[in-house]
Amino acid sequence: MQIIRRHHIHAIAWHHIKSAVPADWEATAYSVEERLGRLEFSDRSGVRGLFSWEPCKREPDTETMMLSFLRSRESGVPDTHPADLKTRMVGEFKLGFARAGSPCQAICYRPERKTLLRWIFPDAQEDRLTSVYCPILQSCVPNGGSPREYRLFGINVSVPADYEIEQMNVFPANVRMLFESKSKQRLVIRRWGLPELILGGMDLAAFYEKFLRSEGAIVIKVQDGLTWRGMPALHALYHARGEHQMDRFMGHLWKNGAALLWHDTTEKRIYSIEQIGPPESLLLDPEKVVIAHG
Amino acid sequence: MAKNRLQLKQQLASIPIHNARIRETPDTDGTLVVEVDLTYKGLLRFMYRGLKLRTTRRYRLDGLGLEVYRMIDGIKSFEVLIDEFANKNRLTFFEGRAFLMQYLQMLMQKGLVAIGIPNSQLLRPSPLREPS
Repeated sequence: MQIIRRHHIHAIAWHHIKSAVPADWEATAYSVEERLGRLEFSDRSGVRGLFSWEPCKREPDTETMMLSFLRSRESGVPDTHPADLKTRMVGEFKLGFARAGSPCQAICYRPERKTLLRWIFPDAQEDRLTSVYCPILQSCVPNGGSPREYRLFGINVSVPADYEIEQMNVFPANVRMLFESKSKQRLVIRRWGLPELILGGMDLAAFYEKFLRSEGAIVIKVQDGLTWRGMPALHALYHARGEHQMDRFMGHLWKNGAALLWHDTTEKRIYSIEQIGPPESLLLDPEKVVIAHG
Repeated sequence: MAKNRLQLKQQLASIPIHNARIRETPDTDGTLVVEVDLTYKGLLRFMYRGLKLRTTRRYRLDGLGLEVYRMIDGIKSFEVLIDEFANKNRLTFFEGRAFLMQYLQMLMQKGLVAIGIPNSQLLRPSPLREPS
């Protein structure tokens, strides 16, 4: 089987899976909730793949699901009979389609988490099945345990399992992911594009200090002129109003805010990682959180 | 309204063109001043002179905005413009598309640019739903 070459793919990791998709596929829709949701991937010709996850108490009848899916998708063509359905196992997934050019679906049930995973692709042409869809399905592995990876929209991080993704904002060339641990530590990863426009003539330190203030932080110290993984970087310490229960109500400050900002001049992106938590909480090491490119 | 939304393929094949009636004046600071004639609708069409309403409006383009404005030559399709803009600024295709779409929409509202849309009959729809 032909496998997509390494430089033609990019890794993705989200709730339940780690996988690799063609490099020109971009996520165009996403869900943050771990229980139920989907990711949508598109290239310039339209939607290329949908990955979804949902709770499911017991293993479903996958062939019946595939048939009802095909019947709902293929209006105006003769009804799909069970004998028309062609299935094969690819990695953990059972892939099924009726005829060349019809949509195809791949289903995997994870009994240990009682979760049903599905990939839907728009056209079951044999060449696309072999060169694109099967390699994607084969590359899918569970994204469990600790640390857990999240790779989407250019942000690649690895966080302990007790950190859950709470919020995500995706604007063009401006992405923010917020994680929160069970002990209420907050971890925010940001990624900006068009650095000249973002900086607006300011240096990194002036920009970031202004930015943190606009986010409600009290900036204590900014240490400029550092390098991180060979890129210009700065380190900032800040206080911010507590986010939970009495801290929020009484306006108590959390005083352990630490941030790292770096400018990847080759990639033309600015990244930052901000962490804060209740007093005495241990913050994560950015070296371990941020997955290096390549 | 949903029926009037363009398919992705139509959108990418569309060709932005400058309004032929705008006047461009390069400024010494590298910016470009563009002046566009205003049109009034309804009763104002007959009364704007009497009411001494303004007949033109000026806009100053600079930085990335000017760069994009200069990329529009009436030949390049929206897809080609996205590719050029995204490659130059190391953006992904959809990031570039979102930026340019927003900016072109603004230029259209101000009357600086018009968009030529190709015949939808020539474009085949995708089997899955397309991103809007």
